[in-house]
Amino acid sequence: MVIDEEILYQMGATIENYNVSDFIFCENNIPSYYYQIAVGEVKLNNYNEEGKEIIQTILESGESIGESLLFMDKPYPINAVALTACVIIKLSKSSFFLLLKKYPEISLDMNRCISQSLYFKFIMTQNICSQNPVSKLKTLMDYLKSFEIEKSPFSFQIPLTRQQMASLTGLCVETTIRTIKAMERNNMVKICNRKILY
Amino acid sequence: MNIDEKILRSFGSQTREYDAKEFIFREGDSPISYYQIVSGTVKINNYNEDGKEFIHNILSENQSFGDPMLFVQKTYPMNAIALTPCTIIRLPKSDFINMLNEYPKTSFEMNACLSHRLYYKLIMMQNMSSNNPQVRVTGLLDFFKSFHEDKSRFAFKVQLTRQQIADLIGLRVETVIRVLKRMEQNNIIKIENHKIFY
Repeated sequence: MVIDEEILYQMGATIENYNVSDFIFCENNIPSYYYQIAVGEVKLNNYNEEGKEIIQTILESGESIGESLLFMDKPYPINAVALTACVIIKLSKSSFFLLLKKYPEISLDMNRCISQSLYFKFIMTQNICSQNPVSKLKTLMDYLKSFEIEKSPFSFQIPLTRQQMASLTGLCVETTIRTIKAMERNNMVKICNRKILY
Repeated sequence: MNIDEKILRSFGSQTREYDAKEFIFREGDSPISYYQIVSGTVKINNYNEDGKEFIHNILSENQSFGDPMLFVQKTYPMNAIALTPCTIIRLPKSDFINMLNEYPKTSFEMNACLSHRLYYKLIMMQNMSSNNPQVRVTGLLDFFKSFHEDKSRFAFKVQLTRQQIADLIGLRVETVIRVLKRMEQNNIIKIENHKIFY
């Protein structure tokens, strides 16, 4: 969890409920709230000029949504969309900055949180330029698995749909499906009940 | 990030000279220092499995690099290479963290700096998912121009070489040259003495 929920409420945070596919914020909105997921999953996405969806990241409970934009004078370059029914804690930008002044250690937690997102982007921006679909998907799987303690082959179930993997790597879903099958034949992944084990 | 050199020195930083082309850190190294440029230019890059270069960023005087990796328990996913002779301040990681604790303002500024870097990545992910090279080039130029005060046409002089533009957006230099010529014909950019004005 990025910020203790108790502290958020003390500073005047409120709760909001979202249904699947609801927008929490949209591209070009002015950032005016700090958002933290209490329950649910959220994706950050945008669309390129061909209309293809780019998933920038998928966030789960305890994580903050688009917090980095609060430190900048730019509108959101991304949408935040509920992937499941969500409960989200909302704190106004001005209260968020008061909170950081009052609890300097939370500012340090923010440093960690934004750095973690940047680390993912360092890996994924390079990856999106790669021409090779196997290496694109493998890079994504390696990244996800790198946070697991159990490192043995096929011990990690990829927590993404094929469509999501496609949108994270800039592939189309057909290529993703075909590539995963090829990876199964080459014993790089196992598929059980459509679930991918890496 | 531009931290006051006096503060850095009081926490035990040291200054080191690097020759052009010298590696400051390599992919796979463990992050052990905070780095800030006193003079010179540094590029942050990777090479993909075909040996093709991908540039994440080019940084100069009074900018830091590699700092997100001081907050993430991972090895560097990228190299830092001096593009020109460089003078660089280095502060060991543990001293850097002590400094953030003692000067919460620095941690706060760190959030702003990390957020800017992340913003660039969010925009570039979207651009680079496009198969249209002109979209990628325009996306990069738009990004750099957005921080430039004069927004009028051709007011922004691009400081990058064509090779660097190619390596920042995952294209071949031949493609970039061709796209730039077409953009000149369509009056989107001006080229004078080989310099690009957008």
